[in-house]
Amino acid sequence: MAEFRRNRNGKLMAAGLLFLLVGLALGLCLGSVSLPIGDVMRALAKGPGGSGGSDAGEPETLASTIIWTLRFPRVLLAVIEGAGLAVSGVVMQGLFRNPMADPYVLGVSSGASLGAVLGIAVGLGRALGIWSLPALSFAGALGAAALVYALSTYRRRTDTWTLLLAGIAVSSLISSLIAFIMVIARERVDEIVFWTMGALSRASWTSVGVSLAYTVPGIIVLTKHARALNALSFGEEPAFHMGVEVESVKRTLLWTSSLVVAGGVAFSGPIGFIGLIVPHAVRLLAGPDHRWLMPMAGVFGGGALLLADLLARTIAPPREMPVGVITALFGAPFFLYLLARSRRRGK
Amino acid sequence: MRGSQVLVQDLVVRRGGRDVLRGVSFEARPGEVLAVVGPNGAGKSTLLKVISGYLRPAGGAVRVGGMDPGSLPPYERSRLVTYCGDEPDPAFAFTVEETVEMGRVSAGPRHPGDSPGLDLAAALKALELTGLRDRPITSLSSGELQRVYLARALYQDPSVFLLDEPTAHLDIAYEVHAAQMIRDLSGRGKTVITVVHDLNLALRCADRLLFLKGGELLFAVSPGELTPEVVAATYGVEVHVISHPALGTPLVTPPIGRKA
Repeated sequence: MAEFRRNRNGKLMAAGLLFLLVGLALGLCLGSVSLPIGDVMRALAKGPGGSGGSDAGEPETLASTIIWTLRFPRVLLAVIEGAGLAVSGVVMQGLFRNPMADPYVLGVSSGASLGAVLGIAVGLGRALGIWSLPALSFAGALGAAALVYALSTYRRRTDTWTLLLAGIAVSSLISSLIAFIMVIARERVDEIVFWTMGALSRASWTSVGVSLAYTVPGIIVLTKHARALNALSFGEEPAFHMGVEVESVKRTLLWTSSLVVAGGVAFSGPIGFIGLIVPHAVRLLAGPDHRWLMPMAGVFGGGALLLADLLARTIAPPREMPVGVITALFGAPFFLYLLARSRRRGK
Repeated sequence: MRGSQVLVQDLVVRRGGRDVLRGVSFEARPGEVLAVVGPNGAGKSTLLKVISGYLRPAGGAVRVGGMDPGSLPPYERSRLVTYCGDEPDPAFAFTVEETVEMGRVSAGPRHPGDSPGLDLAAALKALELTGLRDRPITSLSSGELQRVYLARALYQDPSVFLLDEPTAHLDIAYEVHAAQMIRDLSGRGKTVITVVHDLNLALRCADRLLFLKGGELLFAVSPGELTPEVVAATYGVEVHVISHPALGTPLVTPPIGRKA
């Protein structure tokens, strides 16, 4: 069985990578201007800034500009953020022993966007540089996570329903704070609106670099705790008796997943439900072992957000939907389905 | 073998502003099986959880293998002692085998002096889980789940096993099994301290019975020393202690419907 599962999961991982690759190709080719894959490959091969030689025709320069300044950073940011959200979702679900936990539902994403919005409105982001935006998001994410956790934990026990309710309450509190800031900081309202809807349209190479720097080390740390998370998903006390350093592992996982979420949210605003649906789907296919679940959720999460963003920018041309709208369109009904199912099971 | 494997001295545990355990002292040698018995709320589970290091005492001392379990690094602690009791409903569909494997989650190099321990197949077999090894634990009955958790503790293979009502959800066949498992552990030099409700089960598998009431240790007796007075003082019921007609071991039978 273990052998079988390894084989199957290896194949699934390969399928996920293929899915990601196809998504990347589609993401580069499709958009308000569709480019044939040949042009895309040529533009990629020539490198950035690359109309190259003197014989470069006008359309090729255009293709190169579209690829290198618009689409490439955008699809990369989608992959990075999708991976980060999905892996964080896996971690939070395992940690809270609840398939309904995710960075969005628990208010971590909202907290992160409050941090970013404060950065924009107060101008802190400008004063401290682009690297500080994720840091502010991180502070917000962590604050929200700590608040939600504290509200729902009594005598070392975290009640599932209280957790969800606290997440909703903290999220709406944060939404109203953001609205409040928008009214005060009228001159920045456009920028802030962009944050609150969740969109990848402002992706740039800088945001890709910064978010990569926050996300990748975070995901590595998280995957290193996969075994401990397996044990923790049985509950904190059983995990203690199995020999897990419960408090420190829990802290590390909570902090790091918040950091990973913040690294993406800082540039796109909160994007919901990727961290909910992807872990679920992958768990159904690959089983609950976090050693498989985390890397696979990363791959499939990256692909999923990539496709969602592709949909967002091609569904109603020439207009662009915020990708958060697309993910919520699919995610919210799914969440309700989970809720109904867990009610039926009487948990 | 060495002296005491578990040493509990003047233990005081306070929870929610009240003493759950007061002045409890006893020790257990390697290979010894102790049964902790007493009425509900006597502090039996608390006692096991303090020995496991999960709860910290307010006074007195606990030593397992000469060390304070509450301040040991997790890996060392998991090699020394484990607690097995009721757990929250499983949240995810790990298989039986994956669950049992988690007994070694803090795996590291095994110490040279460690007992050879059981391999995974043996741990599964000991609780007759071999046929269930690929089943998701979310589909198991509470009795099956209890066997899975026992197998996981077995696979963890520490020196001291703290079993909190290991037979609570088991039918009589598996109760016999669990009793046999406890005897086997003892035979391998493991110390077992188990909370049980069934006095006769305690008499069958334990070397000594600790009678706990209201947080105090009233008696520590071997099965042969058990008298109706001990039971009456602990539980407030009058019982007969007779000799088992077939085995000659002591047997407790409550008179029907009469209170002391």
